[in-house]
Amino acid sequence: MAEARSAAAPTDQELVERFERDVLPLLPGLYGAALRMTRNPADAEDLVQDTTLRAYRGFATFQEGTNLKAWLYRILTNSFINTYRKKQREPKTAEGPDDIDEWYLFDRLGSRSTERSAEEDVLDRIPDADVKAALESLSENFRLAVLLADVEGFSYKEIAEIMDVPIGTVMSRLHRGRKALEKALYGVAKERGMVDA
Amino acid sequence: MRDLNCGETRREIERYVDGECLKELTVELEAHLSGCEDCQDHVEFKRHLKLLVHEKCGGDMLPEGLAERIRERIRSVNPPP
Repeated sequence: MAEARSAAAPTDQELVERFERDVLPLLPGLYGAALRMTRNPADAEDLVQDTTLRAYRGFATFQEGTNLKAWLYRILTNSFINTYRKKQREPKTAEGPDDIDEWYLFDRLGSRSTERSAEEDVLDRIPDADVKAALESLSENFRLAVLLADVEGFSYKEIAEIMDVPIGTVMSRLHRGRKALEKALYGVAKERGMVDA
Repeated sequence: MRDLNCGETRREIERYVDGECLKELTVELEAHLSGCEDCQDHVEFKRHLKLLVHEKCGGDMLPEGLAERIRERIRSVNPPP
């Protein structure tokens, strides 16, 4: 068995080439996610470097044809939690997401109170940097869940594997995280005078 | 197949927009949605918001030279086991 495996094992050179071919194109996405996690460019860069190095060390055991992106984001998330979380100070939110109404934003910007196009317009006009800041204002578990689902497009099952929690926990964090995000976005729209205060 | 009311439908919209509902529930939801403009509005709103977060929170540029630094580091470390 061991012999058969070593006979079929790719050479170091092949591994380096495969790593560069498959993993390096995912760097911009990884860096963006690292920025949302660490909330500063220097830590994000370190986190991406750590992640790729760890991924490279484990790459020989990674099964080609399985979900490379989810595997990398799992390493990214673990690296973040183990290394950077200790340095971070969690933002203090006056109100937990449980106190936020269901359909918080729809009830304020929804189509019954305003013209449908106007409502979508308000959201579209919020600058990218403000939406990023709103996401970054969420506490860590909510921020990670929304980031992985909505920015990176992972399924609940993939997020459960990446964050190493049950699917029910993923759904709860997503739901609460999105409510907190809706409230933060409405706050931005109010501050910018896009809606009546 | 169950007939869903608006309350039951609203509770599932987040998962529906995420594409995470089982087939049977999806059929039930779509049956309700096809006759309920108000619930359709709620679906569209969540869908729009999800897309907005996707579009506005991505697209960061890699810092200059980072890809090259990573490439060099990988080539300089010990070969993988």
